[in-house]
Amino acid sequence: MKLYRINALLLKYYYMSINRLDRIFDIVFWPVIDIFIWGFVSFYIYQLSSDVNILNMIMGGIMMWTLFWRAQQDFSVYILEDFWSRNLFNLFASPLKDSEFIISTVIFGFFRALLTFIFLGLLSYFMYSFNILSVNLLGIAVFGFSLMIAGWAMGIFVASLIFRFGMRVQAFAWSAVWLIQPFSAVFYPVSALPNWAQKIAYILPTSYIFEGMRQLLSGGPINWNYFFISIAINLVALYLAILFFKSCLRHARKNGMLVHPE
Amino acid sequence: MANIIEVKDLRKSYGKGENKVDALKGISFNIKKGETFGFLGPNGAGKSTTINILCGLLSKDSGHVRIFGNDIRKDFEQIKQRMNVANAYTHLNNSLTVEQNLRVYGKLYGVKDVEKKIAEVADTFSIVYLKKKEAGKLSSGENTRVCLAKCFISDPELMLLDEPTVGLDPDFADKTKEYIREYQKTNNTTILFTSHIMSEVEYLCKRILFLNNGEVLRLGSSRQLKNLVKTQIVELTLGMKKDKALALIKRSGGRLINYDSEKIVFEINQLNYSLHDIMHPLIKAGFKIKDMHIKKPTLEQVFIKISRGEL
Ligand SMILES: Nc1ncnc2c1ncn2[C@@H]1O[C@H](COP(=O)(O)OP(=O)(O)O)[C@@H](O)[C@H]1O
Ligand SMILES: [Mg+2]
Repeated sequence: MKLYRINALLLKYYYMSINRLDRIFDIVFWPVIDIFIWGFVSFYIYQLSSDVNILNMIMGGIMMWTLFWRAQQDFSVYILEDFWSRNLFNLFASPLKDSEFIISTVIFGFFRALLTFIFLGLLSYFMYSFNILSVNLLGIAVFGFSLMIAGWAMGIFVASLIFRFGMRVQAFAWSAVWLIQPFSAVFYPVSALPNWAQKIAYILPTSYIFEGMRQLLSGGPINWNYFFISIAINLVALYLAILFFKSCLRHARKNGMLVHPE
Repeated sequence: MANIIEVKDLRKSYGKGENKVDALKGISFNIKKGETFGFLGPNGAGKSTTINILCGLLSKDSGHVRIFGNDIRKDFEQIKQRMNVANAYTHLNNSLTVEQNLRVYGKLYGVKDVEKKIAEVADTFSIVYLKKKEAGKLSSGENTRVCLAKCFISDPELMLLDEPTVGLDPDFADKTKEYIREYQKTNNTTILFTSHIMSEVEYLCKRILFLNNGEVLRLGSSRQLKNLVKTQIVELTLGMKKDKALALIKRSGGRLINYDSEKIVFEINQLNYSLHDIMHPLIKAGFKIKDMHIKKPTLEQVFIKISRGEL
């Protein structure tokens, strides 16, 4: 593994981010829309019920969800751009290793997600006086960290699908996270789910993370149990995602997908 | 001299069942250090498939490939570090400018003084005016030049050039081929080159491998390939009525290709007849020869004849 090659890709992602308005939109636009909608909804519910927790739950939920969503989507969309460009040929003919490819994408995704998170933090503070820093900071950090790993695992998985099936499945890059959102207990506890859905929730790392987050948001301590369960599931998921990625790349090299991306 | 590329019994097929295409049916060749080696063959012959295996975009089914003496199954990054590719049908990243793309690729290949190198290749391939333009907005000829610049930016020891001049205007294509030869001589670069422009292949390549249907049909210098053509085309201008001359040429073994009031064009199969066999009876019959051209076979003719299975 070579640092200068990772740096080269980071530079490329940086250029991609500043050159294209839609990439800046990704960081700012959709998260802001979310904050607006959910902020007003929770504000309204708060007025009805005077339960200050509601506001915290929903605002905290949306901010953390964005972290996950961004981590996954960046990974997939940045790869798609090279598909669209027909740049994969030149990229994969270069000395770049698969691992350097994954690592640089993960690092850049981390910074973009962080940027969005900070931005949302400021926005929700000024709009709804919701201060994410008033919540247990270490708790936010550890669950946030776990959430990012979940996002990367999912991002790598979706990227693998793109390498395996081509641009036919590109819609997945934007829609994949929403498939697991209902089971992730982002805005409501797992217990609110019907029985069959709870079973799915139990195997998703995100459900433990958001449950843990909710405890933090209502002033509770860090639920280390949930944290470690989520990390364990995440590591397994990440490992499987990387295996899957390698197998899909093998397949792409076998059938010529990198030469004629379709 | 050391072999930079060694390919032995390389096989590759695409697809399964009815759709299965045997793109390479066990080809072997070696390329020496400092050699410019040409691939010729009709569309679908397997040229790109071979090159794409050599640069790691495709996996082989079987066979051995060694580059710089190392098996490509191991240490491929180290191998790739020392080579580069240009394929005019590919692009760089569309949302980066040309300059940004070159910088990223320069850094990926670990180029020491990237900015200096960018200036150099931009000048060589006349893309200075494109530096700030998004790569997705280039014309095809501009894209071709940018892809070439990307290849030369790392001063590779080995270049795989797969139709690198597609879309260039004749003037630029000419300059490019001269630059490649000049560069190759100065740096003793090893080059694998494909093109459908025969003059480029002939100008650049010491040895030419002729592929068809995934098989090696011929391997040799362009002169050796041209010597395979055993027919000679003669253009004859006679000063008088030709009817009798036509009959004589036919009778003595010439195959008429066409004729008009001025010229007679015919072909001689050198395996059976010589030019003398035909000219002698003509002169004896009193024909005056005003002008005569003997056309040497071109690489183009060789290409067509090999592709049609006539050689
Ligand atoms: N990704 C692919 N999937 C299926 N068939 C392919 C693919 N790439 C090339 N082929 C087939 O393999 C054969 C060789 O193609 P190629 O190596 O591109 O030829 P050339 O470069 O000599 O024109 C052709 O029959 C082509 O249709
Ligand atoms: Mg080709």
